[in-house]
Amino acid sequence: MATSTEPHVPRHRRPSRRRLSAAGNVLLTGFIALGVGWVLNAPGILKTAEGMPLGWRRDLAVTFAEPVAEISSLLQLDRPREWIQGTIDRSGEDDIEVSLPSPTTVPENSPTTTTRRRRTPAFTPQDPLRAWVGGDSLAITPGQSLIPLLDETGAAAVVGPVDGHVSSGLARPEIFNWPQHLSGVIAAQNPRALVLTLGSNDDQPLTNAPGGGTVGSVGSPAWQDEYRRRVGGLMDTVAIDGRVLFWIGVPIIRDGGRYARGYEFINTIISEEAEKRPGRVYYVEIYTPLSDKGAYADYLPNPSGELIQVRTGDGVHYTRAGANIVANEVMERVHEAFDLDTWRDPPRTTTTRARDREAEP
Amino acid sequence: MLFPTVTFALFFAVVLPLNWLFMPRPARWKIFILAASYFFYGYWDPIFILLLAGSSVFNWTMGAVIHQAQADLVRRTWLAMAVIGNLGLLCYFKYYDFFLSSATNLLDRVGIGISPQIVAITLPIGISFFTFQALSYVIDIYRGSTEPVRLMDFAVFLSFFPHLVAGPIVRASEFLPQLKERHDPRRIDATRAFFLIFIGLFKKVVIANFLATEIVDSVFGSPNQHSALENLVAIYAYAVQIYADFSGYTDIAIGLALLLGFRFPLNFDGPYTATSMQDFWRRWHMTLSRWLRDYLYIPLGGNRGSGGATYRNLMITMLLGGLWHGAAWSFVAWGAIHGGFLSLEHWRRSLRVARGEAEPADTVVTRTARRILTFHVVCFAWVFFRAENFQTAYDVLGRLVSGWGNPSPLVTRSVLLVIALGIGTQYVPKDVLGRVMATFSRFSPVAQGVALGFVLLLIDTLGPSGVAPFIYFQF
Repeated sequence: MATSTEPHVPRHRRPSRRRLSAAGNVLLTGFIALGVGWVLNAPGILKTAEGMPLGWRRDLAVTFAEPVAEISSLLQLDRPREWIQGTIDRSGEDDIEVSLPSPTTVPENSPTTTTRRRRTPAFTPQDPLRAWVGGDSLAITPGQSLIPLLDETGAAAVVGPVDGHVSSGLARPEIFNWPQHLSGVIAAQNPRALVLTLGSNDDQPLTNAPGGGTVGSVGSPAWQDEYRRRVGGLMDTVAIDGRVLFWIGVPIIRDGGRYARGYEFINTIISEEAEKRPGRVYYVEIYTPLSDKGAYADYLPNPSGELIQVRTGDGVHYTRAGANIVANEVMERVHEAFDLDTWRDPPRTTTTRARDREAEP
Repeated sequence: MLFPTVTFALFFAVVLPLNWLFMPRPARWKIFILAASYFFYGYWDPIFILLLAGSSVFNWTMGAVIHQAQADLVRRTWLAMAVIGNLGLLCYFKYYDFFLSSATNLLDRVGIGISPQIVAITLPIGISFFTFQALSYVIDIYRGSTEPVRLMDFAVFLSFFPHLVAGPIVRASEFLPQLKERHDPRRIDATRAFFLIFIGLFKKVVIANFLATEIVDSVFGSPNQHSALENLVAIYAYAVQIYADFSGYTDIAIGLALLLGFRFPLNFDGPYTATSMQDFWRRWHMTLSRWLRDYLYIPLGGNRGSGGATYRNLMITMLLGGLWHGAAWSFVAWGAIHGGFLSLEHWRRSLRVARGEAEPADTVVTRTARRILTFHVVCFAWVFFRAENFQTAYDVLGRLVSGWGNPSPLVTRSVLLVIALGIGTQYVPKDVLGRVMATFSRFSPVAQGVALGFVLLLIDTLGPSGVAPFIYFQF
């Protein structure tokens, strides 16, 4: 805090050596800077344009960005960008891979498939469960709550910080291709458990459907078929070779209309596809734990009865307390799938719950 | 509309030429710039244009009636109404839920259970900034240091888009006289403007976003899962991140205003070179610290009373300054740390004066020691500012003691280099940048444009994908 009472004199001294410009020259400089910047960054700008929300603005942006990217490539003006990306280990960042895998699991009709007994794999501190946590923006705070809970078991090792990619999902592979990314994660880090949050950006037309088209009208039979294909394909990319996928559903949101128009279909498809893959995929239902008797609530009582804010101002994302609720739900599914307790002597049957630790207003 | 986006670039590419076309006709220019500013603000949520317009009409009216009133009591009454109106608006949007849930939990602890209606109000962007600007106008009229102006002039002052959403907090006395100046379209300080804009973009897109994604968010998200070294470096990284984020925004704002023909006050002046906490507040968010000094600290009595009164005034000012940043107790704690250390410095100075001791010698060693100490006090306070709650802040600080010896994969050479860059550049002498700008200003417009295009290449390629909102937007 400045306690001086001297009047403040804004300092705008301009060294006399600096030349002033005319407005026309300022505009010329500005437009040339934007033009040169555009040509040099053309691959990145094209990718950004492709990732814009569907509509005339995106179409217009892509229409302008595509020829500039072609010219930039033809004249090799995109090389400096490639070189910088290579130098900082981010080669291929501008590549756009839009193909998505289809399911390989054959649906089993017998109801006994969902109750089939299997041996729960056990893990120890010496041989810990390698776990990966990631997804869209809704993955970030719950992931940060989940990592310490997994760590507390003593028999799990998380392979990195939360792998969050905002605005991503399965609807727009040109923005972020999750199956491709997860294949890379599996190859590089070999996790046995993957905790994935996807769906909240998917209530929109599905681009790059087989044949190259876009499947519009969220919730239509065609949209549901294509979304089901993408969900099943991702599950079968990940949940093989003993790996288990925990897929966190979309929570109740303040905009009930949006939930009913899109998220309800999304949650239904994810849960149905998970059911087809018993023991390999677990659907984590968080609509109920985050609702107040079925209704949306910004504040919910914690175990000691205090009202705690669980949702942020946008009515979608979680506060830390809300994230803890999600993390606890995931931990219950994790304990169903894996034995992380019997290595202890005497065996433990419970773990600390994040909600109990979080009692701060 | 965020500054570092294509949308804003298109908006500004249209506004800039029209600004200079309309400038010779002030009446038309004011209508144009007001419409442009409302469009800029309404891009987030058009409904809040009503709030901005309402605030303009209310404060302009309050200024007019205070100016016309003769009796001191009447003037004071109108001033009180203006202050209550402005702070009431701010409290409703920013603090209603916070105070209500805090009060509910407090009453619950003493056995009084209530179930208030918590409404989750959406915070209008920039409300803290334009409310303080409006208050400065009304209070200055009450003090007689500013004359009332026409409603259109006041509305332009309050809503001028470069400073609208995150400052700098420009006072009426700094902006309104510029509306009467003749702006010569042949004499624009474009070099300084372009440097500010591009340096600001680099700070925000490359430095702030890089540090946030590479270390800060992960460590502050789960401090106990990271080593002591990672926690320590994350604290330094956050100090650089918030500086780069906020000063980057105001650099861009000042640069944009310059291109439109207006001068804004500086907001940052190498804050991590400060040799004391008082010095820090003369370098960090200078327009806020001036506001708090002139409209809160000095009216409370400043340092004119006894030592105790000065400490009280410092603490009140800094606690409210902390609360201004956000509706959470951790911001209050941040303000308390700053207030406490400012008081401590004041106490030591008073003691020295009372004993008749001379000022300590200003050598390179003592200055360096003071800078390091000040920087670490500031970093300590940032822990509470950044942490989501007290438990997280305690975890971060506790981990500094208990987490040594663990691997630190997040502490990479790139992270350390960017932190060093963020702090080191604050020590670059101003005349060095001045010489570079002077040389640049002699280039032809085409050469300048090509050079700036290559800077855009660096910014876009080095920055992480996506644009995170500015930290100070939430305030």
